[in-house]
Amino acid sequence: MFRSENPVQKLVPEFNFTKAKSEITPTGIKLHTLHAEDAEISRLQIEFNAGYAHQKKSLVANLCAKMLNKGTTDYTAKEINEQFDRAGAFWEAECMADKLLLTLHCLPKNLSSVLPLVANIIKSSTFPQLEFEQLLSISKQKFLVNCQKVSFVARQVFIERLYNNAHPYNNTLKIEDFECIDSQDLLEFYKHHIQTSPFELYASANLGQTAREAINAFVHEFDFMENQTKESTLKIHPPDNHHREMEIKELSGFQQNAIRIGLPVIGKEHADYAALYYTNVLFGGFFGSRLMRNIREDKGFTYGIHSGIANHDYSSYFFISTEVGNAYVKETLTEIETELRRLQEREIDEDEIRLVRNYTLGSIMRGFDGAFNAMDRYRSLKKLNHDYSYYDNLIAEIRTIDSDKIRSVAKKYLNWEQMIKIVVGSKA
Amino acid sequence: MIHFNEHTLSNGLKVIHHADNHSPIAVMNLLYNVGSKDEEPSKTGFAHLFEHLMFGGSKNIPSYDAPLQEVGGENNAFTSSDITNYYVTLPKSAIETAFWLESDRMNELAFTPKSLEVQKKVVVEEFKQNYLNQPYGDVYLLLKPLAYKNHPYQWPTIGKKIEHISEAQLSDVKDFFYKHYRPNNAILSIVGDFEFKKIIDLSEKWFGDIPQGEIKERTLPIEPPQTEKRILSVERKVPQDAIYIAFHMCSRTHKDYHTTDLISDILSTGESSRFYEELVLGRQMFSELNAYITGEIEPALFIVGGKLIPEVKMDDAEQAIWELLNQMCQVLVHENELEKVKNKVLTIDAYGKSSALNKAMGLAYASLLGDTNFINSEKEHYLKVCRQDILKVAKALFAETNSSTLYYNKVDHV
Repeated sequence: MFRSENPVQKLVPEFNFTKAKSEITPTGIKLHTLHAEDAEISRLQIEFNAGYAHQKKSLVANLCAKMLNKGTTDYTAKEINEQFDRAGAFWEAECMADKLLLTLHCLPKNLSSVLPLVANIIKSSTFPQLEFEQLLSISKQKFLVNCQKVSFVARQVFIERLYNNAHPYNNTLKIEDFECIDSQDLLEFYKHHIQTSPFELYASANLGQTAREAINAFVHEFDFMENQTKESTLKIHPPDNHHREMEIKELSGFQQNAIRIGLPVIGKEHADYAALYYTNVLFGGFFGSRLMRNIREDKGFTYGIHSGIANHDYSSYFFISTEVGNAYVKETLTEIETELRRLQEREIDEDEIRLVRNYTLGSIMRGFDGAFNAMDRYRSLKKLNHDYSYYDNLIAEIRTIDSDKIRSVAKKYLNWEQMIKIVVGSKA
Repeated sequence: MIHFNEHTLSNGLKVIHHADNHSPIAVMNLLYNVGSKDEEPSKTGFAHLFEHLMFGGSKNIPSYDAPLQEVGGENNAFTSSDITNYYVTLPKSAIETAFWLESDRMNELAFTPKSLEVQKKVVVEEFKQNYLNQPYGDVYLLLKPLAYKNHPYQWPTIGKKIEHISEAQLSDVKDFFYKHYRPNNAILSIVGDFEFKKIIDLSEKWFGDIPQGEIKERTLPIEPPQTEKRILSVERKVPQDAIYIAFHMCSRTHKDYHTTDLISDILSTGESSRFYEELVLGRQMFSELNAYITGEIEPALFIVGGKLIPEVKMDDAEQAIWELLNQMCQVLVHENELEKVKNKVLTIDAYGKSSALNKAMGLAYASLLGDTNFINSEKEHYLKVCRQDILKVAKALFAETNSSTLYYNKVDHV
């Protein structure tokens, strides 16, 4: 036994994971299912085209999502809470850029008592004034707390620069936004984007007979055959890309600065996306990335630094994010730029390419571990018509990528001069 | 129901196996029975710093991460007051790499000065990022030493202060390793599509020859019973006043543990909970108000913490909390209310068994508590709790003389 040699010499990735199935119910609802035999719990997700990109005023989509379960024509907020809690159900309303996602976790035997309530919420939410004022006040307090975090402020400024003022993907907030919104705004948004709008259903984990029967009954509460034309007609343009100077926002009393750097990039539908995806992993997308090895593991400037690609339906962007001690800001910025230029200009070692390739293939596998993860992956392919071949292409590209390709996408899409560069915190 | 097998190697390493035939991913979880409670008061934060150093290479393998990433794997770790827990997820065909890496660092760490220097800086930045550079980030740094005067739970895992981390020496690192990181102080759990025999063979092959250590029986300082109400008031540049009240509660294996946990659920889990309904929505005194247990192995804390709506006075907020706590001590909870929180526990229990990683961690932790099957039987303990239990435990818990209160006052400038 040689303790210095890895006993496993070859990665054998297995991509024969369970695939989700899609069907259209007799009432016109797209139902996606992924059954896991061994699961004890069921998850039902309801997805609307009601993300914040659809709102005409700040905060509306987000507050609308949170207010949905705060009263209907048949039940008070208290009664709704009581029914969910009594069934041991967990309800979550997540307002993303393009979508509103309602998620219910529940034991299969309790679905039949909870789903009629969910249908009631979707069809007849009332947005009562008292609950609205409370939610608004609580949200405002949370916003004020967030404004005391350098990472939050840096993200806000970054998004403002990335998506200028009126862009649908600019979801940044100002304190005034809390003053000029009322429950009527929410009701309007609800009527247009939720109440009578087609949704898609994602059911996962335990979908045994009990769960299926409850879901079938739920599906029959809706009939979308007549209003199928109400699909999203939103047209969003990607943001313009300019040359950018460093922007420094000084706030007193902090021990660390938050750094956020990035720019708009291509989306999943683009032929170069797989190569860019891989390049991001190598550069800053995992614990062994160049940014982490240099700035954390060699210099100790930060607890963590990472880069990523954020995907909205009509726009994607690349970002680098970290928080570093006040004394390390200048050096960190220099190192990030140096790493980027090194990526673009220098030959990449075959060993590094292989390591990142294997890690990335493994992480794609992990992404399909368990029914919840596997369904999340499937849901994220919606814009690509739920076509699993996205993963076939991604995997094929990762298997064959070489130094020239990595450098060429880094040059083409990750231009330092064009990046927005935001620093927020106190001087050393 | 999670079926599992157990085996203990001759050097004392406990091995737990659970066959999960549904996933292409396998998990190895290695729990060391050492946490920040095992630190000396003058060298706090060390167990956690040490966790970082475990990634700095071992005797025969210069880098822990790279060979794992090479076979598609990923790892992480966490340190708590009680344990240090390492876990690896990787393609099942590569499981032996996890055995190789974990056994080599259990066998002997590299102890390089460079790794120590860098990780001290990294942990100092972690300290700043999570405790000093966040609004309300220092609450536990203040609250824990108020509640514990003697017991090592008085300091958080990150340590009492930054200086303790930056002063750590290489000799401390070596001592700590040989004192705690021995096979007879660890529990290894493997979840994946494997036969039990294969796991035993691999465990023998890689861990079998690691010598066991002299693990001394733990003698922790005992926290004397609290006899007076404790108060601490601080001023911070935050947007809202906040209040935190900590009560001493029982240990993880005490018969009252599940009752205490359910009390926290009745008070604050879900939007129909008492705190939410009465003080957040009803009287609109708090923007958030939570009750939760820290749930450590040794006698732990039951904490009530909330942020006040502006204009609400600290005294009134405190009084309102106490009214609800006293109610728990005086009036039996409604049968429906108890059933509701039990149902939530059942959902959470089922959710916790939906991923291989959670199962692997849960098995190792249950084993540490003394009975691996606890992972299956624990929900019965919750279901057995009755209304009278709630009343009885609440009475003992919510006494003023058992409370430590932190007033966290906002000021515009500090």
